[in-house]
Amino acid sequence: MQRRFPTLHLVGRSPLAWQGDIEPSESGRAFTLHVEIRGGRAPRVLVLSPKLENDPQTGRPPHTFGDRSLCLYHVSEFIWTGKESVASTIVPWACEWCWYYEHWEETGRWLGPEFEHTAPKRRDTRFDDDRASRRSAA
Amino acid sequence: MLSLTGYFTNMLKLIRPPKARRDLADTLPDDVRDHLAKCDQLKTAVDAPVTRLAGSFGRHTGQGDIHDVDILVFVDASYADQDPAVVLDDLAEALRDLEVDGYGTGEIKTARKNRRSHHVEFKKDGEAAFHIDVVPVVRPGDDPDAVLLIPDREWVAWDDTQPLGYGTRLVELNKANELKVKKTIKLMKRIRERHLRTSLKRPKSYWLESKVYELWRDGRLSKDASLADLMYQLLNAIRSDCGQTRLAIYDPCLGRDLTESWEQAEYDEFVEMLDKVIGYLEPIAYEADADTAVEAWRKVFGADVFRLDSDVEQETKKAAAALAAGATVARSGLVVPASSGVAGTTSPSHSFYGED
Repeated sequence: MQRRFPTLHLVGRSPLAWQGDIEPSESGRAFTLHVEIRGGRAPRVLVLSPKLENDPQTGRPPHTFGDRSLCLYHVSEFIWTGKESVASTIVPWACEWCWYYEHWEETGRWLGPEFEHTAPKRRDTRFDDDRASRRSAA
Repeated sequence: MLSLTGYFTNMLKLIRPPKARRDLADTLPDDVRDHLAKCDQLKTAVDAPVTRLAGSFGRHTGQGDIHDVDILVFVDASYADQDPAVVLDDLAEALRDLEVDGYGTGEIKTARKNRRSHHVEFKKDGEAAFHIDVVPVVRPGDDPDAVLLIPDREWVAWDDTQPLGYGTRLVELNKANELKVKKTIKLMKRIRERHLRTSLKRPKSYWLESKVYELWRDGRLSKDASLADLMYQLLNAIRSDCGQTRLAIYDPCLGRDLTESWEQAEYDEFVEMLDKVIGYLEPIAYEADADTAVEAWRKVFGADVFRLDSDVEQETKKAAAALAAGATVARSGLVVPASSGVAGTTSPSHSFYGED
């Protein structure tokens, strides 16, 4: 993480967590990210600042979960197994999310690639605590 | 409510007074000062800068093509012991040959309403180009921000005024609220200009400004809100303060009731305007797609100003399309197209999703 994103610092080991500012666009606006991995769950990314605005249609920021963590991919495209590198997947996607969010605030339109919400949903494994241990046991 | 910050940011640029007028307003106080220095009809204060820009140009709260520039002239304190007519007559004499580069000599056109100042009109190519209201004031102490004395020809008395003190307080309040105070003042003035007849002289610009100032000062508006939310809150806050009879609005510094001259019919029209504008926004307050929200705001501010300039919109779409083809994220978090050659982490292809 330090090599790829030196502004994100390790702030906890249990859960494993990084925090720091990134500047996704030329505007220089900083976003403070908090990235954490708790047990075998998929990494969770929160934007600590700026305060994110809600999409009036959903009552929460675009492409976020109910806890306001960022929804960065669809499970049909990527499944977290615990072996992937956070710094080469989750963090760049979070930076991209911030870039698109900035433009969403300006125009009201999300210009990033979106997964069709009408497509059949697969189980969200973010809260599947035992997933990693089941895999290793198998 | 969708924040649509790009639209608001662009609109605030579009409704600024034209640059030529702003530049002119910046230089006029010096022109007036230099002219007065050469005249002996008016005794000016010797220990202070003689002129200061005041009014909405001085406070940067104007919007649209404002033609009025207010300038304070600090006059000798001995005038305050005399009839106000003395200083006003001396000032008129002194302003008679006032020249502004490119506009020739001004014409004094002081009407009854200018009982505290002189109105000097300048023309270009035979058309009225702009006018200045030159206001004589006496500074009793050393602090120009403190209460000043202003002559009133009709009252035959010197009255208190605190334009520079208010300007200072406004700057502080604006800074404390992430520069949103002045923005909301300008936007409120824009709404008045768009929805009220131009022949309707009230509410005056300064009344609206004072009301918006009061709402911020009293903590009824939040700096954390987007401009879209703020304007909705602001309109509702003013409406909730409006009763059957005229709304009293108080001078931010001196605390005087500014709106005593507001006639009932004029006031009723203002309240109707608030209801109409709030009505445009209610459907998008809690749920709306971008197109519906933009359409509603256009009814409020006008499609001519509530827009994303097409080049900005095109640029954004182009940048997004370039990222969709492949993105690289630099060490600072800067997201750039993979084709840019910037060093960083290549972002794997993915799609955002957002349902639990």
